[in-house]
Amino acid sequence: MPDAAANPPAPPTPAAPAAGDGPRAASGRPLRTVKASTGPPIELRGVHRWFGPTHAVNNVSFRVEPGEVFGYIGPNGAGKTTSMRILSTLDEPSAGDALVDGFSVIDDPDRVRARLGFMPDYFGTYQNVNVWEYLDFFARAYGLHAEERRRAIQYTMDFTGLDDLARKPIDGLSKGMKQRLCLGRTMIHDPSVMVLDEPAAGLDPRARIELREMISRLADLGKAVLISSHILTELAEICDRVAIIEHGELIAVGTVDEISGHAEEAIRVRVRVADPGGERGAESARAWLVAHQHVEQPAVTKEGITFTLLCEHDQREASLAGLLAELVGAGFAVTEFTSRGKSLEDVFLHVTKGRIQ
Amino acid sequence: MSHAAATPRAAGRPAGARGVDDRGSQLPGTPARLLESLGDRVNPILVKETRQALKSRQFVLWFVLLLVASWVATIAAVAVIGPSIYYVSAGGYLLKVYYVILCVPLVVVTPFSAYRSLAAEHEENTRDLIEVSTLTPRQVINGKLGSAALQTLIYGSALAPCIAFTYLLRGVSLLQIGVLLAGAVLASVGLSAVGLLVAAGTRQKYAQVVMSVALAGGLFMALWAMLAWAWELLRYDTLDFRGPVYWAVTAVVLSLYATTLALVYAAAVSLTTFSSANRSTPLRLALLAQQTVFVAWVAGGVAVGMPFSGLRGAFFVAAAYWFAAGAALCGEQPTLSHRVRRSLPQSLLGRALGSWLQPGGGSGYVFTVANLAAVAVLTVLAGWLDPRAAGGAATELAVSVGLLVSYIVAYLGLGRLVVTALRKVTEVSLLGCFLIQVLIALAGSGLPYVVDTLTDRVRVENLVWLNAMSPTWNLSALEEGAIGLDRGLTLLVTVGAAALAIGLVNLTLAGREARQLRVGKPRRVVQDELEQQPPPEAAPTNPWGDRPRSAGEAAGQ
Repeated sequence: MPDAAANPPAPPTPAAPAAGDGPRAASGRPLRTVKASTGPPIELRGVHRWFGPTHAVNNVSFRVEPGEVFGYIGPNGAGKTTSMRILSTLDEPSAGDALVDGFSVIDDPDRVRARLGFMPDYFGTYQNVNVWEYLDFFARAYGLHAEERRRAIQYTMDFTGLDDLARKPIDGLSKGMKQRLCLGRTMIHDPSVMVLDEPAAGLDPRARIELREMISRLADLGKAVLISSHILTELAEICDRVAIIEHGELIAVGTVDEISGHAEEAIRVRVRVADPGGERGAESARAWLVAHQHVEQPAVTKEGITFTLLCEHDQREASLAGLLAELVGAGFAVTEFTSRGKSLEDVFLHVTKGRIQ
Repeated sequence: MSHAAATPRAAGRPAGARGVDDRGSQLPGTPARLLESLGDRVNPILVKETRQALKSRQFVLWFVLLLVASWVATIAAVAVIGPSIYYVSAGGYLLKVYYVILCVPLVVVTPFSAYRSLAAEHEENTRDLIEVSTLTPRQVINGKLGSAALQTLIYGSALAPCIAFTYLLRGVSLLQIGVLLAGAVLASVGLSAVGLLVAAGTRQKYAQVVMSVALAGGLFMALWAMLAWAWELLRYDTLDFRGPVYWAVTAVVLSLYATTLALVYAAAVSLTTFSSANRSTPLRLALLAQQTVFVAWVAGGVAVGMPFSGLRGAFFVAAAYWFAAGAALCGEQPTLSHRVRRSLPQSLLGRALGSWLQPGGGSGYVFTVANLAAVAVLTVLAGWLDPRAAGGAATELAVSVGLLVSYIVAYLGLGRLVVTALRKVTEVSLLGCFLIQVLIALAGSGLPYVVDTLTDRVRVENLVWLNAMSPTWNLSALEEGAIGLDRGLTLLVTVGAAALAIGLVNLTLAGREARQLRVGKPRRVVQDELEQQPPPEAAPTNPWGDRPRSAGEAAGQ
């Protein structure tokens, strides 16, 4: 992986509001002041991890900037969780280093822990404990005292929508509520970095949408969020950048467009034409498209004519516009012309060449 | 981002408008603040464990059982004794019954609960969450141990009226009751620490199952031992607290208990500490403290006329202790993390003495050998200075001691070389290293016995070279007089030469570890420390109030 690809230019950092009179969140809590830092909140530098002969993580390097939601995707066993555990000081790299806010996870795990919230892909709840007691324990565990602790718990319960369930035993919570609670536990000490491993796994669509909104709000507060998920559409909607990992190796880092760039693009297009039974109907349009040099696989379906338009990556809009003009110019009464952008799934399959483990 | 910025700011978080939980405000004024301040100082793990325990069925069940059993015992005893309760001495009998009722939760249930409490953190995937918090391993172990102590206190309080009742029934003294209760409490806390150590050391599921069974068995044996001790105490009333022997024995027991508890505690903390941190130095200090106490008591024993054989036995105990410690310490990784290297000693004297307290297999080997050698020298000196050592007894002791030291130096060194070689091709855990060391020593010790049980033809062969490998074979032969002093000296020179050679090779390897120097703190850490604790403003250097520039100002320019 070239270094330039691993460390692309940082996205714009949220403005640093002055304490006290700056913008405030919906709850009244001031937005986080992002101080001038000596480095990015998250930085992995050539991280390797061997488990015996297995090279679980192989020379992984990337950076996450403040206020950025960074997606970490890859098939099962690709090394996502191992990388995240290393970043969260739960494991050590065999070589390389990972830095959180400039502190090494090997040499300064204590300082890293104070700045990092880790949400693993399991709940990790206690028996005989209610929601308030659970958050209170973790607030104490992060060294919050008295009034500060009470406010942190209150704010967290407001943020996650758990304030009506304060006295409810954790065992009685639904999966979605448990996930909210775990997110609350992760943010109870107001960390600058949040590492979320498969936070949406097993949630229903509504809970997923709510979780997505909460993560976006956390990024708005200036937190750097590293998130992994199998549900790529979820990530595509909230991530500023993504990294794709496979067999322990990072094979692409950047925005979806950057990753899919520098290659011939295949755009899926759907067209409807009027006069379906006439001389210039769907079959005629299909025949016209077959003859077009940049069109592949035209087919007439009940939704219209679907086909793939091949073009250069930076000629996408012009190619679509040109084809539409050509169709209209050829006498077809185009009533609908729709193109689907490249999705994260497409990018993932494109980058990983469709290999499935 | 400073730590202050990374932690929630009280001013930034609005007070709960709906007041989900404002426990601190339910009490007025000063008492509320005092209680809140007190609550903030309590270990978070202890708070959580107490909340959980008070709601758990297991605790409630045992507490109720304890109360019911004590009531039933009291009513049954009063019914059986009848009117004669006014003049018979029934306190001793009833105290035995109460002691059984008390010891079951204290010696079995509480330590096993402590074990389960830490093991459950693994099973319920909460250990990771604790590890990524800012709780230190020491706080985790303190909290769990504190919770066990609290349970002990609650169980003890529940039975206190019944135990006080036995004194009223005559037949037992307050001293007996006090010693029995203190013994049960100390056993409970000590065994809970052992339970935590076992839980900290077993992370795999299958190991947890095996260790659960082993620990339960061990706890029931401890219960049996406690009850046997209590029976002896009540039967013979050996407690003469006016005599010096009572206080001497109490001091020996308490000091050895305290140092053992410190060692077990240090080991449990070490096993829960992040691997790049210094997990070894506290353990080595605890070992050193225990050895010091042991040597002091043996020296005291020699001074008041301990049998000469006791000196030999004491050294053998110390040697076994250091072999076990060395087998574990030699398995440590040789490369120190930057975090550990930041606190390495810098001065010549500090490096000469303190390097061996730092983590590392080589330093562990030298630390073990140095301690063993120190104990050996003291033992030989004590033997020579003892006026009862007549007829070459002191020389025999010196040969035995020298031989055992040589064997341990050689076997630990050999094991360390094997581990070093194995680590070049595969990962070897600390437990694996320990087992390799023990297996090598056992193989060397047991080989002559195996050969001896083979055919007559093999048995009559000249196998001196083979027998020379075995400490148990030769030391028992020396003890029984089967080997003369001259042959013992030959053996000592032979084994000693081998030990010296192996020791020198290991010392060379250990030297590489000792060459690791202290490293400075990263700039980011220094910056963070300055942000958290800015240096006080410098005093004016002249009447006009001019102050010297701070390091930060100088750097800024």
